[in-house]
Amino acid sequence: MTYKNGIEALILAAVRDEPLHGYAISKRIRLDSGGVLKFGEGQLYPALHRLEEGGMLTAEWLPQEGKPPRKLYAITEAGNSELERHVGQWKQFADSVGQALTGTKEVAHV
Amino acid sequence: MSKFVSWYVVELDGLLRGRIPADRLHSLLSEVENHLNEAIEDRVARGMSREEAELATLEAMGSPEKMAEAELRLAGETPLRKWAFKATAGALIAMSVLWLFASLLPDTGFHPLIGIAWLLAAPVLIVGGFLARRLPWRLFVVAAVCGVISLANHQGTRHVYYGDAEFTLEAARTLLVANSPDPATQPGLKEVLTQELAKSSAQRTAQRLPGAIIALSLFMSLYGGFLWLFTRLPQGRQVHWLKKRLA
Repeated sequence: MTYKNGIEALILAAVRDEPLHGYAISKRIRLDSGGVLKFGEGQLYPALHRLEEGGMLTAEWLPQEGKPPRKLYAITEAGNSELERHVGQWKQFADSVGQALTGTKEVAHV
Repeated sequence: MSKFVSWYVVELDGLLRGRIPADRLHSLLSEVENHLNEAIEDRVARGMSREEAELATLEAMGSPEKMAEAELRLAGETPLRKWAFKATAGALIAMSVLWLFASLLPDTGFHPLIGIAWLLAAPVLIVGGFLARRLPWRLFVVAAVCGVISLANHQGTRHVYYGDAEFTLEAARTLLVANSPDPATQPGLKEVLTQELAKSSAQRTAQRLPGAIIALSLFMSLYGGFLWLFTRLPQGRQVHWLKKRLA
């Protein structure tokens, strides 16, 4: 069993409560993980665009006074469902690894 | 803008320009520039010197090449597409060179080299263009210009008529050089031949140029327009369409 698309799940989780721009998303991920999760920020934008193209996020340019406009990303219904799916997959993955490491799973003897 | 941010944005621009749609590139560059500037300001606010903050920010962002690669993968550029694009560009260059070369050869009508160039280039252009999903537009312009120059210079097999007799220009030239038209038996022939040969190259060019331009423009527009439409189809449908045609 493997767990893939971690960065996409983290992005979806970061924008679950409010729309955010790219830099704020990377900060949110870092803060929410207690500074443990760090990823190449260069991978953030391709992942954001992939999610936008896949209909998981919508994006809107927000003008700012005296500053360049910002692109805000918001989660969609499809994005919420995808996030739920990721959470489910992650739980299953984490449970399996936990059981394997601690040996708590009952083994059926034939 | 700091020189580091400027360097990053220029590098990214250079890696992606012409390879992803312009609006998407512009959007990405703005986002990246905003991101870098904000990250630098954040680090400075946390007590780093500006230069330290700039270097740390670039390190966190990773190389522009990696970001460009990820964007290109997203845009669907695979190694096959890269080679298809190169093949399309190569075919265009070869066609243009052959075309120009053929137009410099002696006046022998529609030279077979031009036909060979088209036979070789056309399938590569069409299949390569479909696979690459983008066109070497600058080379198309060069090829079109080469084509127009070649066609304008190309004299073709022109004929001179005298009564029931028909001479090619080459034959007319030979006759005149040998001074063989006999005014007694062939009155006026020498004058006709002289007149035809004296027609300036500019006149001939003027006669051929509009046709050449129209033909090339038509070809370019049809091919370009078709590919433009094709590249707007979703990727899955393109592959399906291509498989069907190539099967």
